[in-house]
Amino acid sequence: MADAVPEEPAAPASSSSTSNTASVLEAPYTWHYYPVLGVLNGPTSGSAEPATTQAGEHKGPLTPYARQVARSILRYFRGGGADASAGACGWDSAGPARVPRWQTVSYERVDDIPRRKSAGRSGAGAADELSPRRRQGELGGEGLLTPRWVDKQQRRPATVVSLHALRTDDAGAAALGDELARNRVCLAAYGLTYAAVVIVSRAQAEDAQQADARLGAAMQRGGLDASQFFVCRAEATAAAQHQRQQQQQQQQFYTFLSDLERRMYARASAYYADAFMRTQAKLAGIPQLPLPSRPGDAAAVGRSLAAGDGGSGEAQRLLQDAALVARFSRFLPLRAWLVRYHFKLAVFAECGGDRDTAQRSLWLAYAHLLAYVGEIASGAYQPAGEDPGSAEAAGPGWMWALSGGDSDGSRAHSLRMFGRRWDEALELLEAVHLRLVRGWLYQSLDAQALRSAMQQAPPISPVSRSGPRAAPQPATSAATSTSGGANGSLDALVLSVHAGECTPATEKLMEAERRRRLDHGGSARSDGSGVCFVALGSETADVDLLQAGAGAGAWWPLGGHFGVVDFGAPPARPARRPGLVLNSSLDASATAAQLPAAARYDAHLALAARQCVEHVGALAQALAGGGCGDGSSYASAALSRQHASHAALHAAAAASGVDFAAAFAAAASSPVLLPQWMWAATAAPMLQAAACARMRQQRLFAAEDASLGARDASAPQGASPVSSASPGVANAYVGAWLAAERAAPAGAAPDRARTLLTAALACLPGGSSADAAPDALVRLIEGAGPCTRQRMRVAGALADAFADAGHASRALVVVRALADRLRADGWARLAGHALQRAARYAEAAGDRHAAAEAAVELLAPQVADGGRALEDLRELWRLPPPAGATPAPDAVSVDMTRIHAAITCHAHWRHWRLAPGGGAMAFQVHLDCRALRQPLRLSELLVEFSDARLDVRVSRGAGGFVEAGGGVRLYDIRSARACDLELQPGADAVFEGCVDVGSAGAAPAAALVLVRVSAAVDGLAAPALRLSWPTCMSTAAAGGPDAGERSLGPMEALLASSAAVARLRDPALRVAPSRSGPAPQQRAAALAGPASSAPSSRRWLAAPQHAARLQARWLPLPEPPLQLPHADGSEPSFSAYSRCRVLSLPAAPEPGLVVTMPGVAALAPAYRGEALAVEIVVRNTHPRLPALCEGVDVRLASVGPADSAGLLDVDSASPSATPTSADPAAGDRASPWLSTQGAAGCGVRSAELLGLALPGGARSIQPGEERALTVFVHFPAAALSGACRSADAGAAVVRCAVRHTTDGAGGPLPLVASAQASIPVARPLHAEAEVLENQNWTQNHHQPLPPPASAEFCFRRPILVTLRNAGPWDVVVEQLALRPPAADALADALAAAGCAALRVEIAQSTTAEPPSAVVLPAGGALKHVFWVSVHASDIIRLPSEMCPGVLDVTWRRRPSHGNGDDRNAAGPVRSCLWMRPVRLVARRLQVGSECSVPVARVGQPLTVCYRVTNPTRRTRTLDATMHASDAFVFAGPRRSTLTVLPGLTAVLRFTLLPLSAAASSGSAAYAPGHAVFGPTSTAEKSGGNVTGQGWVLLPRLEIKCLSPNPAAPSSTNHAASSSSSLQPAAPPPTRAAPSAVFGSLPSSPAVTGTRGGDPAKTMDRAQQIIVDLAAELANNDQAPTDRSGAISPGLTQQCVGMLPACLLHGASVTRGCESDFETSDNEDGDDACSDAFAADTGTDDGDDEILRLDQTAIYCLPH
Amino acid sequence: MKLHCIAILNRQDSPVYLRNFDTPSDDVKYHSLAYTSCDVIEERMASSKSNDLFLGLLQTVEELSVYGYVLNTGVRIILVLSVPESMVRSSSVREMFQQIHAAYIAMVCNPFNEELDGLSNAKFESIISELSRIHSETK
Repeated sequence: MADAVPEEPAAPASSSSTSNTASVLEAPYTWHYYPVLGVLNGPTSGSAEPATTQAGEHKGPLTPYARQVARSILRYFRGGGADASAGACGWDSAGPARVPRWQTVSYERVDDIPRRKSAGRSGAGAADELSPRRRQGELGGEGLLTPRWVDKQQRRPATVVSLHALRTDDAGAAALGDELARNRVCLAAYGLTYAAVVIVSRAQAEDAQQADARLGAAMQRGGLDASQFFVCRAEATAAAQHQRQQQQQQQQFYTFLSDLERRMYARASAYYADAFMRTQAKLAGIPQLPLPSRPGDAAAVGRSLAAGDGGSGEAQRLLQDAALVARFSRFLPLRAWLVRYHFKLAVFAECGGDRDTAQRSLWLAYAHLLAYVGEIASGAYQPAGEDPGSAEAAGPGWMWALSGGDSDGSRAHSLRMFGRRWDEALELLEAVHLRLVRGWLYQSLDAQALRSAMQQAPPISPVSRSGPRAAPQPATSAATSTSGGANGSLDALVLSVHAGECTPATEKLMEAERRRRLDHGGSARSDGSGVCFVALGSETADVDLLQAGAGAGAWWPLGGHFGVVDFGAPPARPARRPGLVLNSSLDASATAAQLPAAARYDAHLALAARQCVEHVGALAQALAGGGCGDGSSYASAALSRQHASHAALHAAAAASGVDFAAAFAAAASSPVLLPQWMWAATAAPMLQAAACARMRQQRLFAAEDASLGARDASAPQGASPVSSASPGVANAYVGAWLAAERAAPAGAAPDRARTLLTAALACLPGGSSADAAPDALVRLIEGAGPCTRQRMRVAGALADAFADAGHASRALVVVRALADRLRADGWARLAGHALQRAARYAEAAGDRHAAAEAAVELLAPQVADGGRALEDLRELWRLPPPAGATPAPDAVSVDMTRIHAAITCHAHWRHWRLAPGGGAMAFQVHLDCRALRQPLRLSELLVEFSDARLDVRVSRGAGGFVEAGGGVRLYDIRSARACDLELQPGADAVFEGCVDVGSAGAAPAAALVLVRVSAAVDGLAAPALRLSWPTCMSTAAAGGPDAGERSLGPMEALLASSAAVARLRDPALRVAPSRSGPAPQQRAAALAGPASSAPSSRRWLAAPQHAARLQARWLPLPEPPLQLPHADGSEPSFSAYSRCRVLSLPAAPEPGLVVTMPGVAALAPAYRGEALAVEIVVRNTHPRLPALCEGVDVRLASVGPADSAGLLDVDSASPSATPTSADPAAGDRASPWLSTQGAAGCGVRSAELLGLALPGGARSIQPGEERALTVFVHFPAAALSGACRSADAGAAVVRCAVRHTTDGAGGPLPLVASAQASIPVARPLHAEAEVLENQNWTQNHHQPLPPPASAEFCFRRPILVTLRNAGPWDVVVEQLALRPPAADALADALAAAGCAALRVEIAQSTTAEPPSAVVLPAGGALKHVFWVSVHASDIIRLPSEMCPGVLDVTWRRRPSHGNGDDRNAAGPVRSCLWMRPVRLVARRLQVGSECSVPVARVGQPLTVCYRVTNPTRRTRTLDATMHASDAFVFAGPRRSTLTVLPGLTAVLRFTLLPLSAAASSGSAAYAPGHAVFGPTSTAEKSGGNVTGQGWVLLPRLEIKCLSPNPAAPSSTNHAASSSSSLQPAAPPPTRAAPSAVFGSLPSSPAVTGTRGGDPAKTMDRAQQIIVDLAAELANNDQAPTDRSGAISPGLTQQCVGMLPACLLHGASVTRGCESDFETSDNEDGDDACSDAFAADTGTDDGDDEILRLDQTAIYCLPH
Repeated sequence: MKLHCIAILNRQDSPVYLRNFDTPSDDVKYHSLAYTSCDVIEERMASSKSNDLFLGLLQTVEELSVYGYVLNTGVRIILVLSVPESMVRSSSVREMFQQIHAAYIAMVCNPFNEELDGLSNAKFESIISELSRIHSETK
């Protein structure tokens, strides 16, 4: 063969199992197999010799022209191009588009052509050197198959063509004939067909006749017929003058070539068909072994054979033939023979152009080979000498027989793993696998091409079992029977459609397929009867047809291809289902692997994907059976190789336009899913898997190597390391693998992994191969777009590759970015995984900070569930820093708000604003440790503020906390600076402290911010580890790259969302959402966990102490305003996060004097009439500078209705008490005033006090010194006030300004410190008066009335006065008196009004002693009864309602009340309350009785006189009857009729003689209104318990009104019924007056207006009266002349109702009014006030009513 | 068909519920599967115009198959199954999703459910456990 000159470059030799993907793809196994054409006298034949090219002289068989033509011919045979070397690669981009193609081999001589193997030469003795039967051959009698066999087949011609140039002479023609004859004879002897091509040059062509003669001679001499002799004439290739002629000549040339090729191909096909048949004959002689359901499941095969149900039973029968088995299993196991022959069949079929058969044979070869590998790995082939039935045998005993009974130990040994045959098997397995995948991909391209060709075809009508069906045809039954033979269940599911029975579209499809098969040299007949289209109806779309194949005993679906059509779609849209039927096979495989799919479903792609996926799994399973499980480096290496080869195939297919994603999408929408079909849309996952497997292999290899090394070191000398076992690998022969790997150059694996990962990154959308740098990876991770997460996955793998290569710092950068992104996306567990790697890489890189941050975050339970995070942290701290690491800082601080923290911290002020003057403010730091899993001991807790001087540092100590319940520990750090700082899991630790802002001096800023809380972890050596919780947005932002635009941290986002989600859009917050990822609130919601629940962020732990138990509860914090000025006053520093962390401070005092009035609030409100002491406190708060006080100015201003306090301020009414003009309330004479003394009436009455000096003498106030100054605010009381309660809302504002100077930079600096306080004013006392009714007063108050002769009527009434205290303070009433209103001024007024006879007196002798020094509490009342006597000479004009007088009260505020301040209790206050009018005398008949003696005595006569007074203006006729009594006899008219004229009094006088002094039965009785006047002292003193004496009832007197008088009294009636002696001088009555004269409401303005008088005059008169009365009460004789400013109109209006109408309206008005006589008739019945007086009169206006004056008792003594 | 993991993601692709029925050490693997499936889900949702909630097979990794389901509210449900070599009816996987969907709706709409953030409802857990028990072995 050395003389053979192949056209294509030689393929590399066999590669080892560790060869990479490229070597696998370039192996001869993966070549495209084409028919081989031998070329004699080819264009390169002569060129091989140096003489052929000497100076262009031609010495070869071909002329230059003929050589050129020969090249064209060979180019055509090779496929139209010069890229014949493409056949050597694994993937041909052209694919099977040009068929057939040829593999051309040139030979110099015919003797060089290898001879064809004859069918009868097979046998052990004549075995080829490439056969396993030949022990001296390459396979050594035990090899499976070598690539040289493929190479030999690809160099052994199937037919030979020789190229010749026609000689120019006849001798040359004869020589040509001889050469042709020799070739013919030799090739016929070789068994090869032959054809000769003679090229006629242009010169020869010109003489066509001569050329034909020479050609005929040569053909005749060579013994060739027309089918073997071809002539290529020169004119066919000569350049034509015209373009058309040139095209015609070219067409003729190609016609010639086509004809030649067809003939050659027919011969080649016959050649390969013969070879195929010979091989198949050999295969038929071998017992057929079933395929196991799983690779390596040799036992299943044995069971199948034993049961005979796995096949037809022929295999079992053949296996029983010991001679047969021995013959085949002598050199190889039967499985290996099957593999070998099936592969040969595939090669021959492919060379013959039958790709369908080739694919099927390939699959069978693959299935048997995989089973073979599995059997090897499982130990089915045991070495010689071992007992096959022993327990250690991994395989069944029958397999031992198949492996060759006469094998020796060495050969059997090589059947083990990692032997030579193992490598061969694996190499061949991968090659066959790739060929299978590639074949399906090519078929997919075929299908696509066919579909595209059928785009314009008419739609296919639905054909199904349920639809109209054509007449059954033989082909239908054949297909059905075939499918039923494989699986009976398929019979009902497969619908065969014969050609001609379907639509024209189906016929067109069939014709296309028929043509294709004919081109391939298939056996389809031209009538189409050999073509069967298998289609599935819609009812079969959801059926798992693959179960059929599995049920038939195959674990792999039979290869082949078939067509599937889904007729489920409605026929209205047929255009969407182009190219449906693709099946064109009569093979049995078509019945076993029908795949349901949609119209666009590409079954070939699915098969390819499934092949790839399952190949990996199957090989892994086979390896696992041999002990190389997932934990072995060898398995990882195999996986890496598989994934890499698949990725290369994927990339090559994608470059050729094969869209795997389409198959993906179609399969995803399929109703039946088989995930194994799925192939990734890109090669990235495969590359990543390959890289990961590669890295894993290296790690495992290192571990295995280390383990083996340690074992070898401990093993005795001489032990072979090959026999050692390694971790995870049970097979001892893995040592060989390890030894080979150990010999490989180190460091290549990581680079290889990185290369794969970089390629994976480039395959993904949005990625490129240039992104493998760490910085670029970080940008990829932080970016967005499609496949972001897959890019992150690849980036993570790249980081691992970096770390494996020793670049830990680079890996750390990537992994930290990965953790940040995962944390932001809410994938805590993945973030934890990244953090674990980050901690590891940081430790390797010496980055202590990064390691600490990762380790601290790993404490959080949502990140990792490991319980050793704290121990790992401590372990990390104990490790020494690696060499070359950067020096560790003093402290490592971890920002806990940026990570998932196991401890969250909330720090708040108690209030958001510090009160002016207030010095301390409490704060709480809440450490939420509920997520902590182990106790964590802190060495220090530091609370930092914006003013560093106020920082609170707590160190570790003992105790210092109390259990507040609910798992909360409350630490008091207000004063203590050491406590037990051990945080307990599941508990809360609350540290409550306070900051005294004043103690540290004036705060320079307007706000004091809780900046940060940090804690140092105890138990760690230097550097210290501090956990930091920034509590202020500005502080937290300071740590970021951009304070204004930085993203929210997880906890910040969480708190922000819980606090004010809606306010996050406020631009003032300067909170920008994250650049990528979800919104902050969404992220916060994703991060919400039990340890960071929202309600705990803004609450305060209130811990009141009840008894011995602490009961703490959480209180919500007050809501501060959203914005407060920044520390420098420029921008708001508040955020939703830090709104409770900023304390607003009051304005800083400059230079330090603070004026306060602390006692005002305790004494307010002030009472009218008292002097309120106001203490002014001046304090120098400046830390250093004293202040020099220049003076204190106090000003007073009244606010509100001060005039409502009283009717008149007598003091202010005096001309000497003129207020100052500076006071805005100067016009109000009742305004308060200031003084420096408390006694009322002392000092200068002024509204301002200027220039007061501070007590203590010196004007200088030292820092921290405090001075107090007291001024008095006098609230003047009115001389006369209304008794009723008034709404007094007045107030006085005290403003105090302290003028002082301080030493500034430029000298003394004049400053003013001021303060003000508002003092409300109230009038505490008011009184009410009422007439007592139903009181048994007649016996207790006896006072003789004036004699009637004085012509004056007298009435006496008890008045109950109630004094109430409406103020908030207690009052001491020192003196209480009721003064009658009938003073001189009033008397004059009455006289002027015609009521001179009226006089009201207080019966002093009969009243009880008025109270004194009585404490009247706030809200309490004091009651006292005054007796009022009314004297009137004219009872007709007597006002029924009279003002009882003025209540004169002397009182003072109760001392020592409240806070013990009695400074305001010194001066008593006198208040005169004008009482409201009460009805003293009713306008009815008044009956009084009078006894001559106070005590009667038996036997001594006494006189009783009854006086009946008629105060009305009607004449009354009365019937008086005296009844007899047992105790008395009387003398006088027993019955009499009286006529009492108006205004007169009738007198009935009786003389009684007591008969008995025995007490009357019953209690002493009296008649209401009938007073028994007389000295009572005697009777009372005598007592009622003396025998024979007692109260005796007087005889009863009945007075009854007789016939009524005319309703309208007239003068006639008066004259007729009245006696002249009693004729009164009453004024003539009128009817024009209204009913009420005195009873008007005080506040009714109609009183003055409806009287018909001038209202202005009425008011003026009322003012005059009131002023006069007030002056009289004040004992001030000088009546004010200016009444206009004395009282306000409002007060006048209030007091008018308290004056009698006669005083208000004057005599003229009174005289003009109608008499009360007339009104009484109309009002007595319905006037409520009159009813109260009905008892007094004892009668009413009823005509028949009897006035009974009976049962009046008198004390009677016995005789 | 064996059920390995159930994951429920909110519409922001953050996990709200993830239960692993294998060993705890596989948590990271299933988290990673669910996380990378979000890319496929987004792609399917962007390209698909149908109203079908079932997204089908999202990806296959080794012997594991990841299926997706998207609720109308945007909540994603992800199942990680190991499917035998025989074919799987999509209706069976769809039925599993519908059961989880119903349980999820019942839990979310329960007015007495206090766990608004996480899915720690006892009944929901029982349904998930029952589902895992039914699909505990590869058939």
